[in-house]
Amino acid sequence: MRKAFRQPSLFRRLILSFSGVLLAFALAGLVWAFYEAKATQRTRTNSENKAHALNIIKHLGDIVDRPERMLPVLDSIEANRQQMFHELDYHSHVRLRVWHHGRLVYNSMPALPESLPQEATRDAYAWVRTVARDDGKGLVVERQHEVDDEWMLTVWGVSFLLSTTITSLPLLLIPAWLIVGIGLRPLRSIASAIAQRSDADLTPLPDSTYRELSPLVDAINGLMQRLSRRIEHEHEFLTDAAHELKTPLAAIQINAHVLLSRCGADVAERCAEPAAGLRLGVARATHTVHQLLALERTRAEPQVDQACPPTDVAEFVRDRLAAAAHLAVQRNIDIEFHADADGALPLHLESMAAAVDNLISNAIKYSQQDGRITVRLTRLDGGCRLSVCDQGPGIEPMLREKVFERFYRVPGQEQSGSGLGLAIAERGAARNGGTIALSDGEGGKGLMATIEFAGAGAAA
Amino acid sequence: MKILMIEDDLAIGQALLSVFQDEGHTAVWLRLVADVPARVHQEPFDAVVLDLNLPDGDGNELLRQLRAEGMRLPVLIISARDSLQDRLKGFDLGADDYLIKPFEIPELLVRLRAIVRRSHGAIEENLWQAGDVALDENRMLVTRAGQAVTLSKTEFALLLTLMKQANRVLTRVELERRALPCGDGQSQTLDVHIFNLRKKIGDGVIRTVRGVGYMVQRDA
Repeated sequence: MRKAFRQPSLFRRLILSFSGVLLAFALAGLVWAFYEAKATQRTRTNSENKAHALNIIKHLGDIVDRPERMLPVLDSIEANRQQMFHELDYHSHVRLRVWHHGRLVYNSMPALPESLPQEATRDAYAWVRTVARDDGKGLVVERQHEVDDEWMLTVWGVSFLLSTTITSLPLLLIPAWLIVGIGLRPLRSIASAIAQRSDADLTPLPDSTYRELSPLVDAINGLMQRLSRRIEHEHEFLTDAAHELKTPLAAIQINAHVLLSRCGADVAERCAEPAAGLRLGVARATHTVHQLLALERTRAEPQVDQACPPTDVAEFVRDRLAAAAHLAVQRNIDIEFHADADGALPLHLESMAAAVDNLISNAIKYSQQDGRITVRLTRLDGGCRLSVCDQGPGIEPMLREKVFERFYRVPGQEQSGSGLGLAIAERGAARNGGTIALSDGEGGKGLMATIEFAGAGAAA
Repeated sequence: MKILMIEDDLAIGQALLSVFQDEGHTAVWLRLVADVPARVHQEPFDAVVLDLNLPDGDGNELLRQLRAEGMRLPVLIISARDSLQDRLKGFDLGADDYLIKPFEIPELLVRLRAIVRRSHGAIEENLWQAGDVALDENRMLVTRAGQAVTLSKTEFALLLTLMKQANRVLTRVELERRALPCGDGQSQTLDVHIFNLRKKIGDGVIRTVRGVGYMVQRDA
C-alpha cells in the first residue's frame, strides 16, 4: 500500500497539477483583488473627503464674518457624521481641521499628531487626506479619513476572498477525477493487452487511434520486432549448431562401423563391450541432437500456426502409434488405442507429432516387458483429451512439475535419454493450444500423461 | 556394385569409401557439384549417394539437373536436414530414398541395395519372409513352416501388404485402402478377413495393436 503511494502515478500527477494550477489562478486573483480594492477604496475615500470638505466650505462661507458661529456649525456637522457612522457601524476615524486666514479654528481630533501616515504601518491605519480651499474668504478645510485598506491581508480577509475557490475545489475535483480516469483508460487498455500476452506472442500491438499513444505503441512494437528478430537468430543458431553436430556424429558412427567390421573374430570378442559403448554413445548423442531440433520445431510461430488446416485427431494419433508400435511389439508390450472423439483440430503437424511421439516413446521406454500402454482420445466440451497411460514405475508426484524442465532427468533411473522429451511434449502441446499434465496411471499404477485441448481451439 | 558418392565432408567421405570397399563395392567419390555431370554420364554406375550441402552448389539443384538430363540411376540422399519439407522436396526432385545423418551403416547398405534392386526390376524382391511364413508374390504361394496355405485373393493381398512392411503397424485405413477390393468403408469387413487369415495361417503371425491396426513381425 505504502509502496503504491510512493510510486509516481500519472493519475496523481494530473490531479495534483490540476489542483495546483487552480490554486495559482486563485492566488493571482487574490493579489489582483487586493490592489484593485485598495486603489478603489482610496479613490472613493478621496471623493468622499472632497465632497464633505466642499460642503463645509459652502456652509462656512455664509458665516465667515461671524467666527463665533463657526464652531457650533462645525460641531453639529461632525456630530451628524458620527451619528451616521454609528448607525452604519463604521469604526474608522475622521479628522476634520479648518483654518481661517491661516489660523486653525477647528480640529475634531486634537489628540492626534500634526502629520498622519499615508500608508498603513504595523499598528496604525493609513489616512487619506483631502484639502479644499476658498481663497476669497480665507478658508482652508482639511479632511483626513482613516482607511483600513489592508484587511484583505488578514486571515479573515484571505479566507473571505479564497472562500469561493476553496468551496468549489471539491466540486471541480470530482469531475476532474472522472475525466482523468476516462482519459487514461486507453493507456490502461494497452497495458492490459500487453499483460495478457503469452511470452511467445511477439506480434505487434494494434495501432493506437490516439495520437498521444501511438508513439508508445510504435516503440513497443519496434522493441517486439527487434526481440523476435533476436529470438529468431538464437533459434537459427541452435538449429544450425545441432545440424553441425550431425556430420561429425555421422563420421564417428561410420568409422566405428568400419573399425569394428575390420576386427578379426578374436579382437571383436574382446572389443564387444567398448564397441557397444561406442555405439550407445553415438546413439545417445544423435538422439539428443534430434530432440534439440524437435524442441526447436515445437517453438510457436504464430504466423504459421494461424494457417494450420483442421486435422482428424484420432487418425493422426493412430498414425503416430502405428509408426512407433513396432518398438513396443519387440518387447511384447501391448498398445491399445481407444478413440471416443472424432473431431478435427487445427494442428501444426510437426510439433503435434513431436509431442505425441515423445509421450508414446516415454511410455514404451518405461514399460516393463509384457506391459500394457493405453492411449485414449476422449471428447471434452468442445475440445478433446489425449491420454497416454503406462504401467511403468511412474513419477513421484513432487517431481511431476520438475520433469518438464529441459535436461532434467529423474534421479536413479537406468533408462538413457536426453531429458528433453517432456519439454518437447509440453511445447508441442502448447503450440497446438493444449496443456499437458502428469498423473497416476490407471489403477494408481504407472504414469498417465494427458494433453487437453481446450474448446476454444477446437473446430468440430 | 559401382557407386557414385557426392559428399564434401572429408571424414564422412573417407569413412564411407572404406565401408563400400569393405562391402566389395566400387565407389567413386566426388566433392564438387561441378564434377558430377560429366562423370555420371561417362561411367556405368549402379547408384548415386548424394549429400545436399555441397561447397559449390545445392545437392537438390544437382539432382534436378541430372534428372532433367535424363539420368535414371537410383539416388539415395544422405543429409543432416531432417525436416519433413526437406525430405519431401528430395523425393519430389527424384530421389529414391532419403537417409538422415547420422545413420546406421547396415541401414544405408540395405537401402542402397533396395533402390538398386528396384531400379533393375529384380525378380527376387517378390519373395517375402516373416518368421516361418514365406510368401511368393509372383506365384501367389504362401507357406507356413513349409506347409502350403491356401488363401483367398483378398487374404493374400492383406498378408502381402503386411509382410511387405513387416515390423511396421499398418492402420486399418491403410490396410483397407491397399488390400481390400474396393474400400466399402465397412470396417468389420477388414476384421472378418483378418480373422479368416489368422485361422488359415495359424497364431503368432499377425499381431493386433488395438485401436491402431495390425502388423507382421519379420522375425516372430
